[in-house]
Amino acid sequence: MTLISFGFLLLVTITGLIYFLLPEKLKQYQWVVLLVSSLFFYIYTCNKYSFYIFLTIISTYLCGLKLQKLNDQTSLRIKEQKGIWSAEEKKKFKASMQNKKKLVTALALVFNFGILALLKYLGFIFAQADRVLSSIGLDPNLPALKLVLPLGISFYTFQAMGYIIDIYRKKVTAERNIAKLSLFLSFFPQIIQGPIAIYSDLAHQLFETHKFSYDRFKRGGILILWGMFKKLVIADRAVSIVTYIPEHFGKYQGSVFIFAGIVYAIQLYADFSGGVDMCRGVAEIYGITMAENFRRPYFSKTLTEYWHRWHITLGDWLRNYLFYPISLSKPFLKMGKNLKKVNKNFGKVLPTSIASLITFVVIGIWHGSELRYVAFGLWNGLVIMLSSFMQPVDKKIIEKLKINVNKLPYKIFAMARTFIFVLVGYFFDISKSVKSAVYMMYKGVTDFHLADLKPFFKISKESLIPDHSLDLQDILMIFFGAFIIFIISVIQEKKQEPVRDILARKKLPVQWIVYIMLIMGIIICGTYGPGVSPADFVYMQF
Amino acid sequence: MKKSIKNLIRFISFILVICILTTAASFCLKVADRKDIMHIGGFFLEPEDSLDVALIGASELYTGFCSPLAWNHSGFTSYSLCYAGMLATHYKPAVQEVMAHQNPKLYVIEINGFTCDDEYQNDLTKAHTFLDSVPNDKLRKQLIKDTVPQESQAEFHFPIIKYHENWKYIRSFLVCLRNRIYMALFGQTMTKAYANKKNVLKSDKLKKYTPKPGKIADDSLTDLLEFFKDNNVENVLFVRFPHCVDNKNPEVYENIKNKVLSYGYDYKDFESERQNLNLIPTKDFYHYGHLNVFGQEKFTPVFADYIVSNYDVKSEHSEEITESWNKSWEVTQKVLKATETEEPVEKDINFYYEINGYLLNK
Repeated sequence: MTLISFGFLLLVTITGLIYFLLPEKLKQYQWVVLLVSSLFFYIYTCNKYSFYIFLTIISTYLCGLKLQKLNDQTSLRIKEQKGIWSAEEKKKFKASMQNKKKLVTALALVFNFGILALLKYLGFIFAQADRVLSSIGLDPNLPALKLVLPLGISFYTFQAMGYIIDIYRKKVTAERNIAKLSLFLSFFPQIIQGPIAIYSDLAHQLFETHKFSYDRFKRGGILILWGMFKKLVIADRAVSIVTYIPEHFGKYQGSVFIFAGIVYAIQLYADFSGGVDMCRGVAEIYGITMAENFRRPYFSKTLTEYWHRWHITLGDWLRNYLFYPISLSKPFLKMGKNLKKVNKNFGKVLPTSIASLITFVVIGIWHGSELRYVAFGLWNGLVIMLSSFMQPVDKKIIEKLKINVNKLPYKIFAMARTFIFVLVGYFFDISKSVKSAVYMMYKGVTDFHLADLKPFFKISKESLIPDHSLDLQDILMIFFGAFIIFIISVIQEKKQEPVRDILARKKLPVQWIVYIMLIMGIIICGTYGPGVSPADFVYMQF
Repeated sequence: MKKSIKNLIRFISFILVICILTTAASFCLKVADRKDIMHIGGFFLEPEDSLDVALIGASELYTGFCSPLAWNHSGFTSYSLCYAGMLATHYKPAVQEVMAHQNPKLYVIEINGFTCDDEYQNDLTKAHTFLDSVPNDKLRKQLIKDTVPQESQAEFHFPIIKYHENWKYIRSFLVCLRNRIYMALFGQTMTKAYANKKNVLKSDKLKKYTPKPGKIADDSLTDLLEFFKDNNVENVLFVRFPHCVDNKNPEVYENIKNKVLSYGYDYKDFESERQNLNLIPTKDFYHYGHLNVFGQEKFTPVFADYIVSNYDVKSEHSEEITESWNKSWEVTQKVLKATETEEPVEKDINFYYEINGYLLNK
């Protein structure tokens, strides 16, 4: 069952009807309705691979309880021994309990990230081992493993481990009801591709009672439609460009690669944010507000800002559970302290830059086991590292040239510069290897002729993307769709509130015209129907 | 009024508006062969029980037989419910549609669809051509259920699923829309399923032709014959229209003929009589399977005579119907003349067809 399917629509509708029509006495069990639907969706979609999510649920539940027990024991014992224990004894006890907690947390992390790593990278490790052993004359004959990645494994694993770390940090108390924890980890609108929720943000909303609200239904509905517009009208239409061109890069000239890169930037954003909007819209109808995952990322003026606006929940997760633990760890603090003696800026920037680099390499590896993903992470990490070091120089140049950074021309320059950095990273994403990514970028710069793009903008039966019925109208529609996203984004950026809220204050006929245009736009210009296989959401594969 | 009731009314009204707009979009964006839309659609514009003869089959009918000419020549009313490359599975549904609207004295079945292989019969585009042009009633729903694979039925019930993509082809959908609007505004077609041109074959050489019907064709023929039998239809003539081919697999016709005869119906092969009928490839055919306008004008009276001499098809029609057929012949003469002498207005399809009848009747 995919997000854009009649089955999913039916599931959302039936769940909604039961959820809101429960008698007042049973309203406290609304969450059970969500749980049943979530488990049904997951088991129906993943069949035997559902086994993995249950492993994560059980291990997370048990480790969570154990951690909670250790937390409680620590507090209780310290309370009991107040005035009896010396500071030394208290410290010793705390340290021993902390070690036990670390062990349980490590166990949970290793087990769950182990499953994720095993499924994601074992095939790659086998293939590389086979290659290396073969190159030294051995015949290992290792099997070519193609392990199936269960739906949403990254997202629920991240969520589960965030929950465990939060218990470890005493930010939340462990959930004693395994069914409730199951719902938190499997909530069906978000399981496909996030957003990755923090337990303290989401759990209470899932378990609270909710009354039907027409306004919320309307808000959620518009978000779903907007997501569908981005997915069906823009993203799915662009799939053939971003898959075919990099796969057959030998056939094309430099400017075509730049074109493909730009189309990929549009496609990826439309696909990912579209999917997340749909998930958030469904949740909103049920009265659950999910975290925002995108905040106009292409308006970012630095790459760091981009990563604060793109896939926000993953960024937050990595910041809270990876970046800060590294950068605030004893060795890193010590390193900073020592370096500050040599150079103040260096000492301040280097430890955080290394932590940031590690975080980006992890992001890269999370995307996939291939080298190009590592390159993607390294590129982002290194650019951010370098820009951190260059910040004082940058400041000086701006001062010297008397540039007003708050004026539009500079903002546009900064956005364009960031977009180019982002685009470079995208080439590693769409290409099949680091080599081809570098080749495409090199040719894109050294062999750029606008004339090479002419065939894309010609009404011709001989498509530049063979076997795909991609017409000039399709290409124009991709850019027109992107233009609409741009306009909406500008409004949101200026007003700093969702366009649907702005629209809700307008007169009914105005609202209707916009909604009708949106719906008819999807119905008429959407990529669906006979002969069209719906494209999976890009982030489903992760 | 309570706010919740107000909201409910608003929501339902909104959904209704969307449904209406979607239906309108579906109607506007429906693109099929523009001739076929009119051939099929025109059948349903004929007054009920006004046809003496119903012809069913593929493109051979609209290029080989001219109903107004037959009316003028022999005095019976007729209409070809046909489309290019009619699938074998659609003959019975076409007969069902005829039965639902007319009570003809004779059914003429051109056998082309029963000579094609299974791969040919699974063409969903052709299924759309036919099923999307018949009235959307109970019978259509049944026909979809009977003839379309289950996984594809949704696109027939909700044609927007298929046709929405046509926003890209503005000219195509505008032409089809114009044709539909003409039919809706002006009613009955003047030329009664007609499409032809003046082009001729460049050589007298016959085309080698090897029909290879599959199981679907065979089953469909049996099904059709059983259907006629079950409905006590007495007069059915299975016919092969003239083609200029060298048939390398004559057993196919023989098998069809034997099957038809075994059910007590008639069979007539005009393909083998082409020379006797004085139909010359370089004069009377524009394609090995299709007569041109000159061939059509030669063959129609011959076939009309054959019908009249073998079946009692003529009946008394009301003054209104007689008048409309006379008018139809009057316009058709102009269309035939234009087909013979002028280049078609719509260069992209290079045919004269129903739309020219409407235009010349203005």
